[in-house]
Amino acid sequence: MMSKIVRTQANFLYPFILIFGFYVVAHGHITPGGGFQGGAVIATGVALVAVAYGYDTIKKWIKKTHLTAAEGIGLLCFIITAFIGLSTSFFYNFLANSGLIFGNRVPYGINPGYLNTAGTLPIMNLAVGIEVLGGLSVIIMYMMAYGREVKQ
Amino acid sequence: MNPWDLIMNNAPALAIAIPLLGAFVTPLINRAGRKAMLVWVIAVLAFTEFIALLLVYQVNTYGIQVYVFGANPHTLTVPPDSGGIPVRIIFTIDGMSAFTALISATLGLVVGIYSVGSEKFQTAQEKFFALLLLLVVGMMGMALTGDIFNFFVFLEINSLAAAALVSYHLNKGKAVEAAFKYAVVSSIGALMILFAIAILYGEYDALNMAMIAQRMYQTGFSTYDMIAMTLILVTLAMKCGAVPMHYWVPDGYGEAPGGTSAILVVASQASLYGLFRMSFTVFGLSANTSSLGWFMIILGLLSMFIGVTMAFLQHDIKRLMAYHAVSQTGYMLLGVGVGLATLGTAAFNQYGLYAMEGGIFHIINHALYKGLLFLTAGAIIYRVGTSDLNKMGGLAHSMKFTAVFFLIGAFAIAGIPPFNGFASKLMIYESVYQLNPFLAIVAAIVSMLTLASFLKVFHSAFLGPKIYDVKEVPKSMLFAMSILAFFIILFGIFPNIAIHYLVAPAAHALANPLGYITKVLGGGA
Amino acid sequence: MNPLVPTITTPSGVWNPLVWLMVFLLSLIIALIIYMRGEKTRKKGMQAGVFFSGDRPPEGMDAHIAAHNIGWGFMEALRPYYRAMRKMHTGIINDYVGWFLGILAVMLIIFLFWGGA
Repeated sequence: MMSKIVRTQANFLYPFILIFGFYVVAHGHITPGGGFQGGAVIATGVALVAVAYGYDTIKKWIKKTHLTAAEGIGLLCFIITAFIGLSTSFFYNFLANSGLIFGNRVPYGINPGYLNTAGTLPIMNLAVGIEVLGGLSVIIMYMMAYGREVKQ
Repeated sequence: MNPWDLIMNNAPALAIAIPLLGAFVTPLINRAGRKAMLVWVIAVLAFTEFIALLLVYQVNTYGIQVYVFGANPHTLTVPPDSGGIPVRIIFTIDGMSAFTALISATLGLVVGIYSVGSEKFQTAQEKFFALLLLLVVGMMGMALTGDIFNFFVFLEINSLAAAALVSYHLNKGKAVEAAFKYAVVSSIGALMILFAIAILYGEYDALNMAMIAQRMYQTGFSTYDMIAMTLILVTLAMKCGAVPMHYWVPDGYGEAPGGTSAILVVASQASLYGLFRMSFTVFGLSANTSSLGWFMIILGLLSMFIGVTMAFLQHDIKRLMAYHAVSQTGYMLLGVGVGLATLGTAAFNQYGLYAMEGGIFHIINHALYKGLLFLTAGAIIYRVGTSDLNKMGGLAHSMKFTAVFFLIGAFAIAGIPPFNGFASKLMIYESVYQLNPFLAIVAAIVSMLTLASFLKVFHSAFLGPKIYDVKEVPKSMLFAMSILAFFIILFGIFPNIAIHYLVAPAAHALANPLGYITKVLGGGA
Repeated sequence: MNPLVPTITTPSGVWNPLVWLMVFLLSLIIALIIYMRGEKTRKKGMQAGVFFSGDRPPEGMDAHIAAHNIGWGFMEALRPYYRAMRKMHTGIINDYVGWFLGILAVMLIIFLFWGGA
């Protein structure tokens, strides 16, 4: 556990990092970045809290089983989305231009970016985001656990 | 659309999608119990095997297959508004791809069945089986893809899954060290391939293999192409374990748990497939195939000789077999190298094609008998607890079936008729000597040394007084070994079954890059 | 080509495993016939005491020739070769990568001169 200044800063920054990470994930299809990058940003939030509070405190808040579950669920969402289009072809974008969720047509020309477009791409981005935040966070947790073992 | 049509139309995608889905679901199913997880894994591997057989059937019946991810219809390789460039990820399946995919799926299934018994007492089995499925994904993807960047991605999946599998039994840190070496060497190799892909992409604005080959043919072979070609070919030769870049092979195969070494052999053969695919299809039209062929022949000769002489020295059963894997890879490089060196000349139809068929036939034979030998080695280690040949002896008293399976594998690898190794070695000897008699002489000497070193293993492990009072291995392990032994004898007595349905289509597909290019760029369908 | 016909035709010859198997079985049968015609009144089991430099023959693990003794003559004859080989196989990861990069460099130079069509 580090000093009170660091912990206060971490408390303050943590929600902003998470929000920024989810922003990158959700806007993956219209701005630079995407599922992997956003998930990595979220995992840095976990890393910040883990460094500020130390492994012993953090392991009560964040369970490794939840993170591995997030990893599995993200991967499953990704591949199931790919499987749904199978009647046409694997990874077929069945939502694009359909008018359903994420199904709006993109108007021609310069525009501010519409979130409700691109069909299955945002869903894939969300799935990858969930997977990466779980995967990278669990890697951080394991590294801290082994680091503590080495110290002992 | 009924399920059968769905499977038929999407077979190339399902070949990687099914094991991928299986790998992701395995940890979740494990929460319902070990038995459910094992049934799931074996079912997924069996279905993958079925899809691979279906691919072989489709290629033999309908010719080269293309599959475009996310396109409507799934054969639309060049969309009308793309300006003639295949923009999407395309899987192109010709005889060679289907051949490699079938070997990968078969060995995946066999090792899966074997590991049910051999990994019974390990912790974190769901991770082991998930990694096994991922390794199958990597191999299938490398075999089926027609996109050079996609090839890199699957190569990475292959390397990472294999490295993680090697370290599964920690073995006091030795296995972890081997896995570390494997990971370092593979990732440096993968970086080289990525660099080469960047060069090709910068030059031709395309990542599709057919597109790159066509544009390279049109604009001529430049120095950049030469650099890219060297980077790709040398790296893939390293990944398939050719001497003198073979050092990671004995470490990796030697420390891998149980039957996993058997599937690592096939993982290396996927790189061998990549080497053949790149040198025939991508660079074959433009580069000097004669010098490429001699590159392979020289690597093959070195691998054969150094591999087998180093194997003779070993007293660790798995390291010894790993050096034999290096040596046998040499035969494949020699056979296909002679085909490549004579490509486009009159000699190709006289003996070059036969040499290629021999080399490719040797790939499947090697996967079968070396798979069987590694499985028997895993069985010995499972019961005796040591891999040191100096401490073994007399196992034939108690492990009769394992001894018989070992003998079948050893006779096959040494090229004793009527087992399958003889058929492919004969095809290699009787064709390569026409290019240069020296090649056939070295190959024959290596075959003798192979027999000598397997006699050493058989004598020191199975013969002699009874030292260990052990039981025969579990039934699932024996069943897995018997599958491979059955195919060794089948392909030995009826070699034309393999040659007709698998090997000849593969050799003809490799020798015909123009057909591959036209199929992809000619608008599909 | 009928896949069930086991004959392979190579550029220099023909190979038929079934014919080979038949010849093999035939020679086994002939050997068996000769064996059956042998002396009927022989005793079963070991016919002589093992003489081992005047000592009692060793038992258990000592009677077994361990792996590192097999092929000693071969390795002794090729000793300079094996010395070079052992020097090559260091087991150090830096050497592995070094060999890979070295071959890469050599092949770059070779293909620069003879790689193009």
